[in-house]
Amino acid sequence: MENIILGLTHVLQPYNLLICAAGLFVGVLFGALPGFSATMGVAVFIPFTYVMEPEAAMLLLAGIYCGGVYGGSIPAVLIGIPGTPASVPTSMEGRPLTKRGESGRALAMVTLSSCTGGVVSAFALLVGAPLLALIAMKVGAPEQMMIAIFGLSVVCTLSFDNLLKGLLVGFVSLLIATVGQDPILGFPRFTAGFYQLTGGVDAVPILIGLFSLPEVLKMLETAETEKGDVSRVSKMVLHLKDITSNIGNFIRSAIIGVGIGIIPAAGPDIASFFSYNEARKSSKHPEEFGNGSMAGIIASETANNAVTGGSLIPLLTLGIPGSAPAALFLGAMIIHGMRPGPLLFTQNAAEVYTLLVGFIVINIMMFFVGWIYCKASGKILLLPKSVLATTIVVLATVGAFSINQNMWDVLMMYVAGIVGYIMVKNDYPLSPVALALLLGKILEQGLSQTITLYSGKPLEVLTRPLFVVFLLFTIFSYAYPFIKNAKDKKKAAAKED
Amino acid sequence: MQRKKSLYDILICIGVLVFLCGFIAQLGGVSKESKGYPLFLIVCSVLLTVALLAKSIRNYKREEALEKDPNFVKTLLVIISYAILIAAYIFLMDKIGYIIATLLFVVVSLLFLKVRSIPLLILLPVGLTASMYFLFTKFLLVTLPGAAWFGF
Amino acid sequence: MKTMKRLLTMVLAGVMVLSMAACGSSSSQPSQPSGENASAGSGSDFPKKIVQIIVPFGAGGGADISVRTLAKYAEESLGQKIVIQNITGGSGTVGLTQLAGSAPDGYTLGYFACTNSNDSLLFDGIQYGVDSFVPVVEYSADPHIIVASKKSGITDMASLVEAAKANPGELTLALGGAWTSHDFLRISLEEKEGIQFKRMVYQGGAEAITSVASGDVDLAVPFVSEAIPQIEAGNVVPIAITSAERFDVVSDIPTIKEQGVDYEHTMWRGLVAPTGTPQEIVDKLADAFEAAWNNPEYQAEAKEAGTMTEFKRGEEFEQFYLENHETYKAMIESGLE
Repeated sequence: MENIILGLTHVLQPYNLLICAAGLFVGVLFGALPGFSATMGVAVFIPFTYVMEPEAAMLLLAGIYCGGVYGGSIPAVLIGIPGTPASVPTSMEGRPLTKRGESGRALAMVTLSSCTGGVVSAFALLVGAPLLALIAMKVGAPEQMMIAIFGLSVVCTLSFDNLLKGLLVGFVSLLIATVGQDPILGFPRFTAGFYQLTGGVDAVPILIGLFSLPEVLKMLETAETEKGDVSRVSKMVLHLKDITSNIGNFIRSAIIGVGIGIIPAAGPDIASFFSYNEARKSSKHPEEFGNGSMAGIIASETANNAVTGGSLIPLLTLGIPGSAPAALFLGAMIIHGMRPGPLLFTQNAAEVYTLLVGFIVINIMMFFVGWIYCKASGKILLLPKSVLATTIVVLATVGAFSINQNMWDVLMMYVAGIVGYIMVKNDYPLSPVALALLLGKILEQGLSQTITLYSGKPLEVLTRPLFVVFLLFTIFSYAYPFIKNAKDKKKAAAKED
Repeated sequence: MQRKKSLYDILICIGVLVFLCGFIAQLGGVSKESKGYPLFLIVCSVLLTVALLAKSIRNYKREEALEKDPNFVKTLLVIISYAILIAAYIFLMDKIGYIIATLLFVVVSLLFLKVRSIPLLILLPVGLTASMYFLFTKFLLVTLPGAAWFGF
Repeated sequence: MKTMKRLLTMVLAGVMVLSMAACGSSSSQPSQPSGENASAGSGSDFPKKIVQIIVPFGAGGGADISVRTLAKYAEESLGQKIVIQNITGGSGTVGLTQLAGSAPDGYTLGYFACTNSNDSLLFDGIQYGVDSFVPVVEYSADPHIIVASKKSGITDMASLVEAAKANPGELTLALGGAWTSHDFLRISLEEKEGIQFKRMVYQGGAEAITSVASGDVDLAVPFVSEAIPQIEAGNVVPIAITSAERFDVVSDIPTIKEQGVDYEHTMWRGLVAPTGTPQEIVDKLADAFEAAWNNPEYQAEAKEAGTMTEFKRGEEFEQFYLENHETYKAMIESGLE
């Protein structure tokens, strides 16, 4: 308690509050620009933090991290281009709402959900870090493999109307994820002799191309009408009914987010897909999903921001980074002489508790910073398509380049964009690509390690409690769309009688 | 051949099969320990593609031809030219550097998209190029391709 | 015109926000000495402009931190700004390919570690080799800490070797990646003791040691900074440190040599320039990095980050560079069989 008050006094210093705000402003911008991401924001600012005070450095990075995860949803809602992969589900619901002229309602809810998720995760971090870190320890190779398989079940739910195409896209993308060094012996495979592919296909440039270029090309199809298809910016308002009817959804999504955050290797992108999927399954109006469902937006946004605090739990307590930006945090902490571990909380109490309390403050502050951004960026809808299209192409190109400072990635981004356009035009879903590229490596590595660990005694893997839990979830998740389908048919038949 | 919806699916399936052949051809070089998983994926992908191909061919026979869209060729040309324009931009960025390539691309793209307002044609290219340049090279210390030309 | 105004406002707003943040952080940045007056001495006027160091791995990683720490102090002695370029991708080969193709004028250097000169053996399509680079300085040599799971019952080197000999090929060893320093440690230790481990490859040392902490895997060989959290938490048993001497930050962990096994393994990190860089310039750079390395503040900071500081330059480093190439080549070839 003493430490919390100490942290609070540090955070509430005007300079530190300013740093939090600056981090948020930068972070939201990085998240919102297609081709830029939270990870990138944190990465490019780490060198700056080397020369700052440790507390300020941590707060700045935390602000960028939280802001970046949130910011991706703004373009997702407004123009259907998710700023980061974590906002893909948001774009599926937000875009239809914008087309109906309800962009303000959507953005307001995005902002509220993101803050809720962030604040919940910040409290989990502050109160339960040492306890929750034990979960991270229990997640070994078999659990990671199961999570990946579970995650891929989302492909089935998302593309149930067109299962064949969805599965095809999923499997081919998983295959693409195997390019590069194999996880056991480390020899490159399927590289066709390109050394650039040795480390595998980087998911980020691919996703930038996949989600932004098709939107640009779609804009050209109707370029004659100079204005965008929505010329009205609706007012930013929160509807009380949207909140009250989704209390359970908020709670479930926040828990999913924090949980995924704690688990190493799965980040905000996975969390938002999971939570979106669960919301859809338990919704009373599943037909709304894909056509502008508020519940979908809430699920996706609450979960992806709940990852932020969750992913710092194993990092601070055991030095295990729970997501890509968290891995960058680790670097920044080491530079400032803060070594993660159980002793961190006593040896560096001032810095750590400043960060923990700061996380709560940052997430509350994000509501206001986000609101400002949403108000300003709503004007995007008034931009002529020509300006919008050109700007997006430049942003995507420069963004893809700057992740690895490497022209190869720009090329990959472009190819992914063209392929993506062909896919969109022929009703092949894009989201399985994101899921498969993000989960493919985890799946194969987990699989090969599990085989090594349990070779000759496969049934012993069932002695791992978490594994069994995930296994049951997975079975249910794969069977669910089929059960549901059968039930609906029965119902329809009953009605006809 | 008539233009039908499933015609595209047939073409895509053939494309995917060719792509998968690329993987199959390289399978020989993969070590035994790490062959099983990709092999499983390849088999599944091939089966799914063949299934989709069969379904599309069946549909093709049944389906009615798409209505003749007078704008179809025009739109297609616009899309293809713009895709080539982006490719040219990426190529030029590698060859002559970020600044000139971006200036050129923004102007050409705006002209292509029928913008005729002179102030916009000047301000957007300069503003966009300069702000991105400032953001990356001066602020984030990321050297954009060819930026070193300008004696920084 | 209206949209124009809006657009301008937006762009301006973006720029303002960013410059705001820039002011917030740059106020505490140390001022850079200007190039001209600081570069006095030995004939040539090198360096006239910014020197860049290509780090083929991401910002915030072990390689990046080690280079940035040194570069920060070297700027002073070099009298020029040093910019770190994280050119990543292709498991580090993209950045080194770019370095090999850069102008040999001393303005582009690169981060280099013990395994890199043999990349062409491991990966397809690599154009560079041991001859593509001139070694400038070696500035650190990071030891690993051998840790065992509590379940395994291993407490020191003797019981480790005993357990390995009792169950050949059954003792599991978690590695931070294939063909990393972890893997080479395994190969050389196996050869030295005539034992065989079962490899478990993870993504990075932190993941590897977590698997030991949870009891899934028997052994791991993480770097110091990766090992400390789990050792402090009491989740793993530290067996030995692989350097020749004990390490300040974890001074109670004995070396392997103390336990009667004549073995050491460190991952050295260095800086190299493209082949063809004039000797005079290489010397000048080495001077600057040596001065930075000798700075007690640097030493303290590097220790804190878990790197053992070791310095080599000139002929000594050149010879070491070539010897190291042969050692690793032999290990890779034995591993490939």
